[in-house]
Parts: sequence; structure tokens; C-alpha cells
Amino acid sequence: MKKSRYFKSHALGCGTGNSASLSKQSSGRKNAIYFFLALLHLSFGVACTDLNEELRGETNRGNLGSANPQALLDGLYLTMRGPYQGPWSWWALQQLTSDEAIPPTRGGDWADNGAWRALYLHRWQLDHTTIDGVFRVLNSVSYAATDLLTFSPNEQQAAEARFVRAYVQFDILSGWGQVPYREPAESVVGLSRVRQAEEQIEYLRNELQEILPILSNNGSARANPDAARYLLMKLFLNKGMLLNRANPTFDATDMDEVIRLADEIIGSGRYSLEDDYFANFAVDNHNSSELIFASANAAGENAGGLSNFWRVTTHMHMNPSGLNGFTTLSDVYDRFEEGDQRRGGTYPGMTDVAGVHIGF
Amino acid sequence: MLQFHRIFSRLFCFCLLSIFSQSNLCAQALLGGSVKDNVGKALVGTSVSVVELKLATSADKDGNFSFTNVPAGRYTLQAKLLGYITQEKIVVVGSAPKTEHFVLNPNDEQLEEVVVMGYASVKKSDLTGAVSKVSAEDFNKGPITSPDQLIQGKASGVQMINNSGQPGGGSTVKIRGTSAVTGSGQPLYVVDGVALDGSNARPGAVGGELGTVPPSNPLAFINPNDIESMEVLKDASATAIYGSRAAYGVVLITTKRGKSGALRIDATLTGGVSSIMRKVDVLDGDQYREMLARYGLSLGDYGDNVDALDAILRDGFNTQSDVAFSGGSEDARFRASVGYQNQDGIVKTSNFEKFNGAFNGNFKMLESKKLGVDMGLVVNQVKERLAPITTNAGFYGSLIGQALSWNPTRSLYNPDGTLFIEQGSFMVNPLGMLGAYNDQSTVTNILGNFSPYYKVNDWLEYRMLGSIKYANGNRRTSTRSWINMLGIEGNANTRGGAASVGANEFTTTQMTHTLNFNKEIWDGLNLNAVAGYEYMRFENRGTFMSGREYGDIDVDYTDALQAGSQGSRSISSFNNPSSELQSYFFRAIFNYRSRYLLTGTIRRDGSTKFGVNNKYGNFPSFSAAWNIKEEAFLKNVSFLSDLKLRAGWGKTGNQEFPSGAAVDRYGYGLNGVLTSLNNGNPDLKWQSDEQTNIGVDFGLFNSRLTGTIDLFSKQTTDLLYPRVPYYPNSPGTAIVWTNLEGVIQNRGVELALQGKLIQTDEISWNIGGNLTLLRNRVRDLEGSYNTGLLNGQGLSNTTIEVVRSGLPMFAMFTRDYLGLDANGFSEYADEGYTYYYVGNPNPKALVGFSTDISYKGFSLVANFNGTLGNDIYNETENAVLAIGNLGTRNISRSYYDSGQMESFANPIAPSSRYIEDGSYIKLANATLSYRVGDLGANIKNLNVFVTGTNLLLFTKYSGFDAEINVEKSVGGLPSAGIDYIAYPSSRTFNLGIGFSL
Repeated sequence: MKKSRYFKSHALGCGTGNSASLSKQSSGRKNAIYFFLALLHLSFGVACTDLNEELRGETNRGNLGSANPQALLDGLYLTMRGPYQGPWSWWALQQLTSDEAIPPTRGGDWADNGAWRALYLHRWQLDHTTIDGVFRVLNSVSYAATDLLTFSPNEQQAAEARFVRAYVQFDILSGWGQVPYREPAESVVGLSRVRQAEEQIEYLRNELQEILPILSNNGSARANPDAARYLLMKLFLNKGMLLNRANPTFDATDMDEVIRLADEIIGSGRYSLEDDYFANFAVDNHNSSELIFASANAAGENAGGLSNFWRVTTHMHMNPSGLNGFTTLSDVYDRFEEGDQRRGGTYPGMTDVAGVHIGF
Repeated sequence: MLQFHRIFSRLFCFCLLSIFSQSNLCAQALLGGSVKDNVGKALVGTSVSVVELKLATSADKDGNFSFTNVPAGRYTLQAKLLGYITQEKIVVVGSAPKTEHFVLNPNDEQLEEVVVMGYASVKKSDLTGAVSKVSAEDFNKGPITSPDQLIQGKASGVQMINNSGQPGGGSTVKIRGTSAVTGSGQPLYVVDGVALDGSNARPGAVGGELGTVPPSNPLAFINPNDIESMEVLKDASATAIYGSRAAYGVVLITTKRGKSGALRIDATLTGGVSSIMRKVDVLDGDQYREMLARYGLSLGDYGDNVDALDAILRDGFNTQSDVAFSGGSEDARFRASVGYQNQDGIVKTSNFEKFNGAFNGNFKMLESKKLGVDMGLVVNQVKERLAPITTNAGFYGSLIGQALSWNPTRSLYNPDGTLFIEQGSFMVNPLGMLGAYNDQSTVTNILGNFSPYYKVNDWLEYRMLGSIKYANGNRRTSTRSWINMLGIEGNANTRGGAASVGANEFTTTQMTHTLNFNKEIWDGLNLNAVAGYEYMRFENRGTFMSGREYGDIDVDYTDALQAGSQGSRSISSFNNPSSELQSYFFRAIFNYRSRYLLTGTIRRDGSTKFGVNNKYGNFPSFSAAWNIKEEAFLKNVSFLSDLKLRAGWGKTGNQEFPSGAAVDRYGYGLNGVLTSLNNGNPDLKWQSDEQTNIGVDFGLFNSRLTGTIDLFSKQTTDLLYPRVPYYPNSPGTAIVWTNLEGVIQNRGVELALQGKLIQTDEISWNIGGNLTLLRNRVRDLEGSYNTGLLNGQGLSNTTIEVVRSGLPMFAMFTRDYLGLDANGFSEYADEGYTYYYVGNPNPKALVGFSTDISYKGFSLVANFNGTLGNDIYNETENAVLAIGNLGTRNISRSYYDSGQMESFANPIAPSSRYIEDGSYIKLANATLSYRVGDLGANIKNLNVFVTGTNLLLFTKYSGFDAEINVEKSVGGLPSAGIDYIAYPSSRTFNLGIGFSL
């Protein structure tokens, strides 16, 4: 393009070439300015922004939709499996630290960086994996129960959720002496608050007494009035210890309350002791007349980590193979009298099939 | 192009004749000559111009230039070349040809050297901040795959280590210490003004028991051969102009541009071989049998004598070819280059292949040359074949662990020659692992930038830069069902096998407008200012499919992904929240008679990632410098050629957290179930960094000895961390990104020295070195954060590093090992129930040293680098080679060599026993080259060279290499100084030639 212009000016001769070149210069400058302005316009038009983040593959809270409180409640019972089903969680913190069970290290087996020995010998660090893990999972049940209350549950559903929350919070109080909590709808981002023993005992007492009249009885797999009574019993029985672990004193009125609640449960006629102690742990233990509140499992379809209760004590070469983990001490065994069912023995359907005994 | 230029100049002068002709109408002559330097070398590319006629040309390869048909007259002929003092001569052109010869003197004053700063170039003498510049001739040599390897050991204050020996593998670059509680801690890389986001588009793969293969270097898409220089901006006054991304330092990469003049073609071809640099000592067959006897073990001897590590290694060949074309005129310069690199890793089947093409042009338009365009395009594809070497393998290990722990008395093959694979066993045949694992990744990067500018006048220039970087990554991984790997092995219950295919698309767009002002505003006072606006946008999305239970079908699983079981199929995709950055910045450099300098910068950054309450941040900095050498009282001190005192302070930030971190986010799972992914934090903001720097630049004996000393102190606050919400929280609760209260302090001293020891016509000897002393501490942080997650038998869920007040970052915090007791069991302080601070992975000192000797045509360059005072946790020794393996797997040779009989039942546990001194000095690369010179008529500057890398390693550490960093992060918190069965480092020897046409 440039070439043709020069040829033109050449043909016209030097004089005209002159002015042509001059005007070419000024039009060139004008072109540059136009080009420039266009660029500016284009770039600024595209660039300046409000800085609003667009979520693409995800969504924010507003779009969660209404959740079904009954489904959430069913899910809440399932979350209780975490801390309570299996010997790794709350069971471990209770039994291994109290000398009732022992987790010996054999060579590299069960060394696990000393985690189990530390529990048994009471030499844990403040970030001990099991202690931290159980604290977290118990609190997560407490949170899930509180969260359920924000989804407009009916009275029965709310009462059941509050029972579950009271249940785990009692164990948190028992294990750690203080309980963190949040109110329903409180953001999980900020700091939570903490109730110390006295406040927590009062809180649990109020909660249980409030839900007791509301709860209806739908079997041992769900919260029911007897379960609430049972938990109240436990609260009053342990109140002295929870308030002063070093030198507990137990109030006579609390003990009377324990007796009164026990009488209510016994007097209802809904429960009776089984002749076979192990009927409470059989595969069909939902028929047992002793169970007040239990965690439901359906073999093969919907079950928690129950098998580990067995496998932790059996050996790899037994059938089915076990984990060769925990055992107990002769002191514990000796506390059970001669002839006590719990000392163990054969069990039909188990010993004749796999050769494994029941009990100790 | 030369033709056009001739026509142009001829016609131009014809038109101007009527104005300027003094003598006979259209009398013209030839004006020519040559430009040489003071030793007679031709100065190619010198810009020679006839000032009054606005004629310009370049000196060709012989230094000759010519103007034809110059009208008679008296003109000023000017010769100008960067690095030389410009000369002008008055010439009178008559009707006869006229010749002028220029002898240009080199401009020795380093002060005139130009350093690229953020958004502009500044004269080195005007610098008030701490900047280290490394030019192409000082780069590390060898089969380099990414730019950060070029400056390893070359800049003070910069710790650069390759994470492992993986070809094209990632690296850890820390500038002035560690201050990243989350994220990579890597500096911001800017290539020709385009800021990179540091992401690698390679998708993930299905991991399982094998673990995760570490990522490769995100900078691998840049061809190191195309790089002209790299500037490392270290202190806040230099980096603050990059605001909320600059806290870890900034590395500016400037690519080679075309040089005006004759078309020049530069080619380099090199090929070589790499082998393992150093092995980890395990037992051979006979030693194993002896150990079995010592311990009275009857099982475990299979009669053979096998070196499994040898079996998986090979001598890997590498080749690299680069050709670059450059040329053009003063107003239209271009450079085009193509490159190909292929590296076979020393581990069989692993390979790194790279295709590169780049083009850039610098064009000036209009007669006034005021309008210009710089443009560039880089197209790159990296293809990797990855070996099954991971960072977090469990009990079954990954390849290197399987090879080290293979029973040396057991053959890897069956008697019939097939591979010995033991079904149901936890001992995996390493050759089997190699054969069963197929992992290929292809990452394509296209980076284009277009930058028009307009010089309004001598002192004002407007420039716009628009760029797009598009990265596309594809990865296909499969593990065959016949390998006895947990979760993969086919048996009676499952067909076995696993495969995955992933694809990612990452797009980064940038738009920057700058206005540059450079003028003397008062008598002796010069102001060099730049004001600008920048907008960046990041978009990442991808898809992932995986399946299991393929069985032993005839084809590769990834070619028939549908052949697995329906129930095991998994598909997912993601589209990250959009991320935008909008910034305004301003910098002013006041220069009074080159003696007193004052720089101030301010940047206001806004990001979509920050919470609503903190959308914008301001990042100011100030620095001043005093060129003491320019003062009257020092002017006559002859031995001092340069003395400058600098001081600076500034604030920068870091925003390396994922987009969407400040808001509540829920993601969709199977059947539309929403799960909480992130808890929002409206106060989320950048991590703040405040740095003070005092430095001295000096030059002695006519710049024969130059150096820099810098003292710095960095405080990092508002520590970004993905905190788990306090209890009670929901089961599987999502994290909440928080700025933690706490301070990370990094303090240190940097020394850099360059010396031109001998400089004669025949011999020259230059040395350079740098030393950095560092100290790192965490302060005022509540709580303790664990990281450094170990894997392997007996080590699951154990962490050995902490971030805690009073200790350095990633302090090794575990049992204190006291030795073996009489029964051969480990003894620990407090019986191992209390943990102590027993190791520090942060180096106390970084060292780099290089020497460059040339004699006649020969030249020898050697580069050393190292770190001192850092500890390494040898997890390989801890997890994979413990004494308890005896009878089933191999053990470390230290048990054989030791006098003590460690108990066979001594449990595996982490402790200070495995913390070793990781200090090292390495001869990282050395090159011997011979300059043949010109060969025949066409080949110019032929030189032949031999290069070796990883030649010598001086260290007490017993692993494959002391230069190691395996990622063992926990919940987003990175780790440091842990070695776990990583890809071993290799030693290479390369032969190559380079020449120009």
C-alpha cells in the first residue's frame, strides 16, 4: 500500500511529491490517533469490573433448598455409629484407659506410633490421634442434632434430636469435663462457646426433663421416654463425680432421683432381664427385652462397624480372621465369679461353626 | 527485507530531494564503512544512521554498512550499539564513494546496564531495591527443562532445589526464606510482562494404594533457550508494584528479541546420556543370607542374587535441538525459534518430551516511529510418560520403595522367563509395577501477547499489553489387573485393574495499560514514573473419568474405558469460580544527578477471591539510594569504581488460595446430593508481608570486583490457612479459609561477589559467588499445626513437622532417639511419649559459586550450589528398609554394617533417628567448550561443548540426593525436607554443538 503511494507521488513529480508526502504525514498521525483511541475504548470497555465472583460448578447456601427433617433425623442416628460402633472410638477411650482392656504392641503389629500404648499408660500428647478424633466425632453428632432444629422439625422429631444431642454431650462431659456448643443457625465459622460441668449438668437436666413428656415410644432404635429417663439417671448418678473428680460427694436427693427414675422404668413393665446374657448381643438382639436404647444395623444392607468388636480380639488364623489387637488382664477376668455367664463359653451357631467362644 | 529497505530509502530520498538538495539535482553517492570494536572484532548489528537524512541501517556480520545514493552534503554519521559508547562523525558526501570506519569502545560502566523492573526497564544505577539479574551467558547449562533451573545457585537469597530427579519435575523456589503456611510458596513469574498463575494443567489420576505422582514444573512450557535474562526481585521496594501476589518475590523473565541486521540463524544441538547419580545402600543376596543367619531366621532365602534397583534403572538418553531465526531492520525486528527436547529418565519407561515454537516481533510504525507493536507467541507441548513413583505410597510402596525392599535372594523372573508376580502378596515386583503401570500426560500451552505502544513524545509513552495463555492438559492412566497391588489385583471376587482419563483447560487473560514518564523535571532531577491499570482473569475447568474391574483385556484400559464394571465407574467435572484481579499502580523514581535516588510505589489490588469486607488492598513501598561514588569526596578514589547504599521498606501480599474461598460453597455429588465444600469468610484477605532491606552495592578496581551485601527482615502476618471450624462442627465439615493471627519472621544477610580475576587477550578467569544466611521463626501463633504426614507400615497418620510459635516453620517435632538398649529396642527421651523439637529443614545458609575460565578458544565453566544447616527426614529408611523386614523384604545396609544387633521386633516409629544432616555442596554443572570459529563460508561461530550435570555431591546425607523435597502436606499446609522413595537424581553427560548461519 505504501509503495503505490510513493509511485503516485513520483509520477506527479518532486513538487507535488512534496505536499503529498506532507499530507501523508499528517494523515498518518491522525490514523495513529484513531487507532489508539479505538484500542483504548476497546480495552477499557472490556476490562473494568466489579469483581464479583461467579460460582460455576458450585452453588452457595441460598440454593440448598428445604431438607426433609425426617431424613435428617434418620441420618442423625446413623452418625452415632461413628463414635459408638467399633472398638476404635469412644470404647477405646473408656476401656483402654481404665485398665479393663489392654492394646499390647507385638513387634511392629499394633505399634501405630505408640498411640495405643499412650492411651493405656495415660501418656498421651495433647494432639493424640484417638482423643482428638473422638472429641471431634462426638461434637459432630452434637452439631448435626443442633443443625436439624433449623429445618422446622415437628415436636417428636425435635425431641428425638435433642435426646441424641444430650446423649453425646453427656459423654463429652464425662470424657473431657467441658462441652463446646453452638445455637441452631449459628455460623460454624466463628468461635463456639463452652459449658463447664455445672452449667452443662444443669443444661442436660433441663433438656431431658423438657423432652421427656414429648417423646413417644417407637422402639429401642429411636429415642424414647425410657431412654431419656435412663440418661437422667446416669446424670444424677454421676453428678457428684462430674462436679468434683478428685473428691466426689454424692447428694442424697440425687440418689433418690436415680431410684425414682429406675422405679419408673422397671415399673412400666416394658423391660425384663434376659436369661441368656448374650441374647443382648446376638444377631437377632432386637427381640431382647433388655434393650432400652440401641443403635440399629441390618446385616449386609445397612450396618456400622460392629464386626470389629469381635475381630479386634480374635487372631488372624482364626475363622473369620481377626486383627489380633486388644485383650484383657487377669485382674479383670478374676473379678467375675466362677460360674458367671460373662466369663464365657460356647455359643451355638458360633463355636460349632467357627470354633470361636463367646465372652472372655 | 533488505531489498525493501533499499527501495524505501531510494524513493524517500528522491522525494526529499526538492527540499534538501543543494547541489546538482539527484547527485548521489555511496556512503559506507565498517564498525569494529577496540580489538578489531566486527560489531554486528550496530545501528548506523545518517542523522539528518533519517537514514538508518545495521552493520552486517562483517561489521560493514553502506548507504547508497546519498545526496551530496554534510551529514552526521552515528554508530550506536548497546554496551558501547555511541560515536558520531561528520562526513561530507560528494560524488565519489565515501568510507568511514568506526571503532567503538565498550561501555564498561555496569551502571548503564538496563535492568527490567516491573512494567518498565530501569538503569541499574537507578535501582534502589534488591534485584539480582542473571543473563543468558551465566545460566546453568545442561539438559535443562524449565527456567528456574537456569538460575539455581546464581542469585543470593534464592533457594532453588529440584524436588526429585523426575525429568521435568517440580521445584521448590524460596526467595528469602519460608513464609507459606499454605500454598506453594513459589514466587510470581512474569514473562515479558505477562504474569503467570503458576498452575500446571496436568490432570490428576486415580491414586489408591499407589499414591499420587508429583506434579511437573508449571514453567516447563517456556523454552530456556529463548530466555535472554532473568531478574529476581527480592525486597519489597522492587516487588510491591506487583502488590498482592508479590510476597514470595518476583522473577521476571525476558525472552530474546530479534536483533536488527542480517538474518541470523543460531542453532544448538546436543545429545547425551544420564545415569543414576547415587544409590541407596541395601543388601545384596549374600549379605542378606548372612543377616538371616545372624538373626537365626530360617525363611527368606530363595537362593538368588538380585539387584532390583538396577533392574528398573537404565542409562537414559537425552537430546535437545534449538534453532532460532532473528533479523529485521531497526523498525521491524523479529525472532522465531523452534525447539525439541526429549529426555529418557533413568527409571525405565519414564520420558519427558517437549516441542516448542516461539515467535516475537518488535515493529515500529509511522514515519516518526512513535507507534510500535511488540508481539509474541509461544506454542508448546509437553508430553510425559510418568513412572509409578509417588509421594504418599502406603504399605505396598511405589516403584522405588518396591525396588529397594525387594528380597535380593529372590529372582524377579520365573524360570520360564516371565515376570514373577506373587498373587495376594504385599511384595510387588518392581519390574511388574513398571510393566503394569501406564501413565501418559500431554499438556499444551499457548501464550500470546500483543503490546502496542505510542511514544507521545520523548518523555511520555503509552503502552497496552493484552495477553492470553491457554493451557490444555490430558492425562491417561491405567494399572493392569495382573499386578498384586492392593485394590488393583484381580482375583476370584474382582476382575481387577483401574484406569482414569482426565482433561483440564486453564485460561489466563491479562490486560495492562501503562503510561511511562521519563523526564528531567528540574535542574538535575529526573523523574521516571509509570502509572498503570491491570486486569487479569483466570478460568480453570476440567473433567475426570475413572473405572475399575477391567480384567486382562487385550487393549489399554484407557482406550476402552467402557470395559470396566458399571458400579465402579466414576465421572466428575469441575469449573472453578471465576477469578479476577483488578489493580492500579504507580511508581516514581526520583534521580538527582545520579547521586540521590528515591523510589516510591503504590499498588491497589482488588481480587474476587477476597472477602466482601476486604476487596481491595493497598501495597506501598519506599526506598532510597545514595550513589556514594558520585560524590565529590569519592570521585578520586581510584580503586573504588562503584559504591551505592540502599534502604527500602514495603508491603506486599500473597493470595495463593483457591477461588471461591471467601463464600459458602456447596458441590453436587451423586444423585444431586449437595455437600458443603467451603464455609465462607467475608473478612478473608491477602496474607501480608512487610519487609525492610538495607544494601550496599560496591565495585572495586575498575569493576574487576563487584558485589552486593543486603540485610533483610521480613514479617509475614494474616497467615492464610484453611482452618477446620472449631468444634462442634458438622460431620465432614468443610474448611473455612482464615487469616491466622501470628507472625512468620525471616531475617538474613545476602552476599554476592563477582570477580574478573584475569582478563587478558588470551586468558580470562571470572568467578562469582553468593552466600545467604537465613533465620526463620514463627511467633505469636495460637495453637500448633501439624504437617509432614508419613506413610507406610506403622506410620499411618503420623506427622513429624509442626508450625508453632517459637519454632522455625516446619520444625521437625517428634521423638528424641537415644539409641538402642541392651535388648536391641529403641530408646527415646521420656520413653517416646513426649515429642521434642529435633530438626530444622530450613537451611541456615545458601551458597552458590561459579567459575569461568577461558584460554584461547577453550572455556571451562563450573557451577556449584548448596545449602548448609538443613535437616532431612529420611522416611525411606524409616518406612521401607526397617529391620523388621528381614525374612520378607530387604533392609538398609546400615544394619549389616552396624556392630549392634537391633531387635528384629523393634517397632517402626518416627523419631530423630531418621533425621540426617542435609547440608550439601554440589557441582551442579560444568561445561568444557571449544570455539572452533568460522567453518567454511556459511557456518559461523561454531563451538563444540561437553556438559555434565550433578557431577559431584558432597554431603553426609545417605539418600539418593540431598536436594530433595517430597510433598507431605496435611490439610493444605505444605512440608519441607522429607525424603520418601522419590525419583532418584541422575548424572548426565552431554555433547553438543552450536553454530550460527
